[in-house]
Amino acid sequence: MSGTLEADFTKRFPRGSLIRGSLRCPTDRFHVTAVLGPSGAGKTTVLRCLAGLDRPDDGRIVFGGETWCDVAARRCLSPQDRGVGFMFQQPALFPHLSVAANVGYGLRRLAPAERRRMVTDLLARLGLSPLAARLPHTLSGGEQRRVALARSLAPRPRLLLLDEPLSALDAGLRADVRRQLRDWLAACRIPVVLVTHDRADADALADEVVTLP
Amino acid sequence: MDAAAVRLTCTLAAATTAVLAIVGLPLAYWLAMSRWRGRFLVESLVTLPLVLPPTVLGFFILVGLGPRSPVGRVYEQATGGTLPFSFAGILVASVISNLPFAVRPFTAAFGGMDRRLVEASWCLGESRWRTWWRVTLPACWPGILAGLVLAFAHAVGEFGVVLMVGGSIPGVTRTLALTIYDDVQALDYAAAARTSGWLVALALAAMAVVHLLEQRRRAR
Repeated sequence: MSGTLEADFTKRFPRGSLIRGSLRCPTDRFHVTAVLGPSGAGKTTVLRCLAGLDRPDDGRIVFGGETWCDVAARRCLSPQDRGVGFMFQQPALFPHLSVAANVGYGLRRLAPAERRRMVTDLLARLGLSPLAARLPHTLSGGEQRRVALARSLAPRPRLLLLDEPLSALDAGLRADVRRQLRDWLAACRIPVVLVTHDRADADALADEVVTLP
Repeated sequence: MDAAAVRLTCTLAAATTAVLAIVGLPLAYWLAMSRWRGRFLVESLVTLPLVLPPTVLGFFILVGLGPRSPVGRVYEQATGGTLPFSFAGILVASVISNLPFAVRPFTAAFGGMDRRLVEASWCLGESRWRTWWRVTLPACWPGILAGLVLAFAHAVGEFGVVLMVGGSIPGVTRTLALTIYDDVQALDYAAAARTSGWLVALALAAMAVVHLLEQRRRAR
């Protein structure tokens, strides 16, 4: 069905554990789906399969009527062809690039002036403007995560995947960022799938919660 | 110092480093990323020049490049010359001998890189090839540069393998390390000391660069 992400797949690991990803969520509007599960349940694997970084062993992933992966038909689009934004659990910022260059990394195809405008706009929106020229290793953990979020939002992905977006923050900061994160995501109007082990994070951020066994 | 030997040594070391960058970087990347079970065999082959006596390595290279070998015959048909006792011959020997000095730091740099950087680049729409240029190479650059500096410095001082494959022909295969040997044979200790001093200074500078790069990499 167009306007929907439909995913139903399994991924088996060499040591025998079997991960099952089963999701159905709208893609034509801002909607946050949280995948909730304990550590080791395979939440990150579900996100990696959605992004195309891992290949399921069985099943299908269809996004807005476009087949991203169909194991039976031997079809699996690369991450580049899916147009997803992925924020890893660790920020994974490019260490040799400034904050501004990290955020603008996925905008190479735009004209330089347009790229600069979009980067400046995103940095301002996430409160990162004073950090634009800094290198990632000089930032705090919370700042690095905001840069990683800005970087994944910059190319305006069709679907945003967030892996434990609040896990690295201490309790005091966590409540503030939780509220801000929902506002930032809503402003971008991009459908989001996030994974978390924290029920409070899932309830605060998501429109719909899916539980992994 | 023998100006021709200085020129030849610098040319040999620069050419060796250039060839090692072209051959060694893809090889090291494959070694760092491959999950093939037989990878250890390739790693052992690459590391072999570190533990083999230079005379043994030089002997096999000499035989392998000789006019009766397949490589030697192809080279002779293509150029009309022979590889032993030529600059091309000592270049091949120098590349093989210095392979581990470049490939091991390259492999360590690629292996130590956070794999998520590459995946983040893919998710931002960049192809594997562009990711290699925009992320892998710059992120691993300190390790790559350290490998190139080590290979260059070691190629400058190459002795045993070059002597076996190239002899000591002035202007053709007689490098600085060989002039030291010839000077000592001629009891010209002053000339040998001068050349040795320069080589020690160069080696020290190279090691300082390598350790400075390592220090900077850790600071990140």
